[in-house]
Amino acid sequence: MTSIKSKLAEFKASSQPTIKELKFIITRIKKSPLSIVGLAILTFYIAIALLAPVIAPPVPPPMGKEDPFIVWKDLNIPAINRTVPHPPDATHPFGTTEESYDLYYGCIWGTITAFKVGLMVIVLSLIIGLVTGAIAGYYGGIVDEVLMRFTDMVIAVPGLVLCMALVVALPPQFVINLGFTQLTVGLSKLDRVLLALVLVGWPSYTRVIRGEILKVRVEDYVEAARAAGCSDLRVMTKHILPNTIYPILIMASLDTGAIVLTAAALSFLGLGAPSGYADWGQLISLSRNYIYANLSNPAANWWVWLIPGIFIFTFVLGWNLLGDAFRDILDPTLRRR
Amino acid sequence: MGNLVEVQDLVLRFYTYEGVVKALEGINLQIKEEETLGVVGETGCGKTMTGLSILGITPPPGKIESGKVLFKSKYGKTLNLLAQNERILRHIRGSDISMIFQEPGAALNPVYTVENQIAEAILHHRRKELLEKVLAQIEKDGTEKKIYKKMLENPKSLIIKVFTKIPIIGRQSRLKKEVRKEVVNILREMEIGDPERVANMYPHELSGGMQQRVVIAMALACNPTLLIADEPTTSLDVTVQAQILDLIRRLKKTFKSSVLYITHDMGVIAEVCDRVAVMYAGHICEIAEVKELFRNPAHPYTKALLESIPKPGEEFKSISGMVPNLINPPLGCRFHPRCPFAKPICAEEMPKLKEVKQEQFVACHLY
Repeated sequence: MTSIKSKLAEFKASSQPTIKELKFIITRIKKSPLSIVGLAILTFYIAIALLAPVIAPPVPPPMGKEDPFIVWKDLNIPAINRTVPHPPDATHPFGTTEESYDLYYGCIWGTITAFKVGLMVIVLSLIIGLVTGAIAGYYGGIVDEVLMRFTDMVIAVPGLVLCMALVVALPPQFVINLGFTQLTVGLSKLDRVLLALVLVGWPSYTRVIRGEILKVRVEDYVEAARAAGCSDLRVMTKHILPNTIYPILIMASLDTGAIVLTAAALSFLGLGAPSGYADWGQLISLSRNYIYANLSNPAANWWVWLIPGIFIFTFVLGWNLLGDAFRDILDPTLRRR
Repeated sequence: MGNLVEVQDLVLRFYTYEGVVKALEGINLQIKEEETLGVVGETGCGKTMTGLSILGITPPPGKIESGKVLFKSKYGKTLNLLAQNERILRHIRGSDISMIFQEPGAALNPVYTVENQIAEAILHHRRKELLEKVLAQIEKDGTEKKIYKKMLENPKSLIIKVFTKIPIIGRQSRLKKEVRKEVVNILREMEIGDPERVANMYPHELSGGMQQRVVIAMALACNPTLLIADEPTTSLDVTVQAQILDLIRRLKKTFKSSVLYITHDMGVIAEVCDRVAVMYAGHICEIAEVKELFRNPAHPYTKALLESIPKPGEEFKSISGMVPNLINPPLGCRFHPRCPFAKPICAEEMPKLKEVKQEQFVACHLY
């Protein structure tokens, strides 16, 4: 019995720095109310995304589709009335769009799409940006020159326009010839949007990471690490990257919101997800003919743009506030003050 | 006593946009075992570059053009460090030769605690020794012993690497605990009060003197035979400076290592060094025993340096002229434009190091 107790005490003592760190992070977050709001909003959205099949159960065909991400259409409404959006009522808590798509279902399942788009694009561009930026910053020379001029080229074109061009230009199928076998990669419409956003997004990460690395790699502690016998890879991953990653993580968190906005814009323009797919931008786009209702009351059809709009707005806001929280959590020089 | 390091005709050049900077031009040095060699000179004369060249980490665009650095490693073999590949050099850096940097605040990585920084060198160079210690502790045969045996036999095993990275579990490993013990011991050796607490602190929570002690602890963690100290006390105040100098002197004795002490402070040289090399614009102009150098300086530059030490009650003296631009250094002796005893030959021919007295070498046409 005593041995268990002493072991527990020992465990506590040796893991104390980690616990201390955690406690510190929590107190820091507590002190900034905005980051609490950000975290609360995102927790709320994560809950919605996880509970989507429960709070908005998929409707079986013929009203719904096999794919739960396709919003169901209310076929009980007489065909003649379907073209007009219907205000919120008991069967449609958020109302319907043009062609009687259910807004409530679309908004709930659209949360999953928003997370998918935001996180996948950011993670992919972050990985590409980290690798290329690290190579360019650490080795410099001709590699740096070529990479930087390439990023200049991408950044020079307006992002949304380049995105649109890429979505249209990307083929629905890639055939990769591996020599011994052929690999066919199919790209759905949403995949193409993701890919386009990544291709447009990574250069800004590359630039920021390169700049940070240029700043850090001449620091004495990097030289000290090399003098202690660390390899290039170790110096890079253990000494340079941890000192450069914070601004990039904050940037990524802010960008996650922005990416969702761009994706929504693409969807609104009809280039994003396939028709009827649960996506906030698409939901507004579905009833774009009714956003402006009539002369006497322009906002009569308020639900068609206001409800998905609130979803997009709060989601983006949540990520932006989280960016602040990230800075508090991650920056070691702000720790334990 | 034999030579631990022998630098022969070392030439280091930087290829920049403005031209070729001739940072080191034919440096010849010997560091004997258990001796402290001071390197003194003005800013930009190549003191630090000499130290970095020995470690083989000259910053780009620096390139070592020719020369040899013969080093007697811990296992008794003499190696030319400039001809070794990166893998062997990595084993020597940190374990045989280590370096103390000028700015203790900048030489510590801000994102790691003191424990993590010192542990890195220990885990990198002394993993085997510590694992054997751990294995000796475990009495019963079981999975635990198997795990540590595997760590010893196959240090690159991916599963173990991943497993030890999990924050709280990783800390529980016996190896980590053993490393922590070592870290605390070495911090105690550095005369740091409450080493247990300091080990958990971040660099910015420590004072300058404490930071420098941590940097020295990092350098000495693997008992190096050569310690390169690059102006370790320049950024500290005088009382802390005295403590650090004391510490270096005492540690040198206990660890039986040689020290290459780089500084521009003649007072510090007199305090800690056995022999001194005076450098000017990428050349060594004089090497002598410390007492001899202060009593009978031979080279005009050494004389001028000693005269420019501020003394109370006397007017402040400085060396007239400027440190030469190393892209277009003066022909012949590099000091001749500023030298009060310059002769015509000084502008034409580069003087070679000559032994003018027992153990006193001077590069000057006057001798």
